[in-house]
Amino acid sequence: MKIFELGKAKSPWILHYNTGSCNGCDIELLAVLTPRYDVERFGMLNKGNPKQADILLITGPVTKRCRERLLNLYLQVPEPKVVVAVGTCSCGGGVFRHMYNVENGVERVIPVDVYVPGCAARPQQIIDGVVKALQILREKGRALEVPPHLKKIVRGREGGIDRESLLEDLRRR
Amino acid sequence: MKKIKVNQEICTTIPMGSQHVALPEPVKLVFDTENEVVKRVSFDVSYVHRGIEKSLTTMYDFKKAPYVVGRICGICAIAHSIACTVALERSIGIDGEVPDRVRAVRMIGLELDRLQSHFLINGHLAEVCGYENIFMHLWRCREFILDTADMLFGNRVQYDVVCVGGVNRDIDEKTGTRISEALEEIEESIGFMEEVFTRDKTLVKRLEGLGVVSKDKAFEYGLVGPSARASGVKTDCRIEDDWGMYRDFGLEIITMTEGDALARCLVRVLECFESVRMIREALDSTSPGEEIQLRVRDNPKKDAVCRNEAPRGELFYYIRGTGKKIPGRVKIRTPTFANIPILPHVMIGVRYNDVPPLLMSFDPCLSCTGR
Amino acid sequence: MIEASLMDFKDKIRKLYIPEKVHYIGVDAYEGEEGLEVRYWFFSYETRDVVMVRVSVKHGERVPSISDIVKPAFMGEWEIADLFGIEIEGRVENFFLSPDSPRAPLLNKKKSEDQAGREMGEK
Repeated sequence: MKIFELGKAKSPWILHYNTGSCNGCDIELLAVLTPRYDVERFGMLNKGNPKQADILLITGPVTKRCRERLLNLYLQVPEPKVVVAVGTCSCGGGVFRHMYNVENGVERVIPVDVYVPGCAARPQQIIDGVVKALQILREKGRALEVPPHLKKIVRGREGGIDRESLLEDLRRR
Repeated sequence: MKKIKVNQEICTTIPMGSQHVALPEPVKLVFDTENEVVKRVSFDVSYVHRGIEKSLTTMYDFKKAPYVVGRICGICAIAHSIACTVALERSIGIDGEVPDRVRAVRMIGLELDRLQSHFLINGHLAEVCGYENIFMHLWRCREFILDTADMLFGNRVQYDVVCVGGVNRDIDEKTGTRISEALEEIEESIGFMEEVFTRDKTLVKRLEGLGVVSKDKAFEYGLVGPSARASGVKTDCRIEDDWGMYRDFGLEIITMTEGDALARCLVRVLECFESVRMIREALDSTSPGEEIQLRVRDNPKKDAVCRNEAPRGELFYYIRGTGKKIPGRVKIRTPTFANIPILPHVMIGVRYNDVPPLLMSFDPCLSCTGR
Repeated sequence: MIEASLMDFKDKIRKLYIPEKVHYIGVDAYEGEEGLEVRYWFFSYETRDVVMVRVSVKHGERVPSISDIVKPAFMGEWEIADLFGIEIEGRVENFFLSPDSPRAPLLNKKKSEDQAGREMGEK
């Protein structure tokens, strides 16, 4: 199990979807991938395929037509997954709040793990948010690997399982 | 992917979007192809429709309008802000009183925006052609322009520097000299871009003769901006509707006659040189003055229009003043909206793998289109 | 500015629009106190003037499309058809709006409801 965890921590692939933002955050996201900020040093690659992605970067206030596509994308990303809302408008609507064709933020449609505010969010902020997302991804991955009824006996922060207590658990049943 | 019959021929339908690697924005294009050759195209551009026009007549008063319309598009934000401001000033009746310094600062903002936008799209075009290396190089050069903007206006992308009756920030002398230094570096990188798009054999071969738009077609479909100028249409809103000092500085309209993807690319490259010259002229023409904001007492009361040259072409604003704080109607016609009707005609008969470069050579901005 | 009615606005546009000399900017609608009107914007390369062709339209009246004269006009027409609820020939349903967004959002809602109420009363 440890090798998968290591792989995920060192190569989280990102999926970017624009749900009606002004393009400002989107070009900053692309700028993050280019030499000056170079997020590839964390092993991140921008991939268009949701089925290969680990981190979902959403920009924009979610227009009504984008809503179902966003939900579809979210369901297609395999577990564990982390959602990062980039930009003020994706965090709660921003200037677009209460416009007639807008859903007021990503959190109204799918659960969000990391919020990156800013209009437009600066590359440094985005990197910060993505690194936070990495930690959450690791925790989520651990929670997935251990079956829920064994959660109590997971040993320490290594994430390994104590063999003795596992046997004990089986005996009790 | 599914197979359907069009005119007794079997076509394969390939959808592109609304989420795609080559597109930073949501747009859906559906191609009916026959052996890789595109036969029919349909498009859906409405994914980004937010309803900004309505909010300008209900939620925000006219002094906030330049900041709201900046959020229509992050790449050409200041072009929107300037067009809206100029239209509002004309509606109030103070457009003659705007000081020269304000015009100069607005010009610098707009030209910096044009520079970064042209670098962005030419880099992106190289990427969809398969040149990841040039994409990275051009985006590295683009960072210098963004640094300059950061130094001048305090933000990289959305610099809300324009307000009704003036600008929010002046450029002091120290920053002025630093910009002149930065401009030299920028000019050098434009030279690099020119070299790439004229000397690189593979890139030139890929883009040459792709998606040719003749001059008649360009007139017929009402193309705007670099796409029109690449076909030989001599149009530039900076000259035609001059809110700044472009006529005084003798802005040169760059045109080409080929009308293919390469010409559209080269027009943008050559425009960058012109933009740098405009920034230099604007910096030299005026010195840091005292007054950078007029006091606005009236509300917009007349009907006014403004045509402004955004990086992608003609941007049209119409404002109906009613004498109240909130205008009666704000109409925004964005450049991409004028360039989209020709796309289905150009794409027919093109191989499917040439579609992304062709699409990118028109420099589509869907956030503008949807509003 | 050119005033026109629904009957003759196409002829006037045909006379005005020569592709090499006149640039088509866009189409717009506006609901003022006098009622609904559709405006076509043109720009003349020679005189460097913006020309407006104004057509007043009643609610629910059918407007012919000008895309046989001005080719790129269809997109702007679909847009105002969606946003103002104007019946325009060849319009596409939900070009800009999604099925669950409010209908004809840019219309002055209160007024049109009043009118609808009045019409109901008359019947």
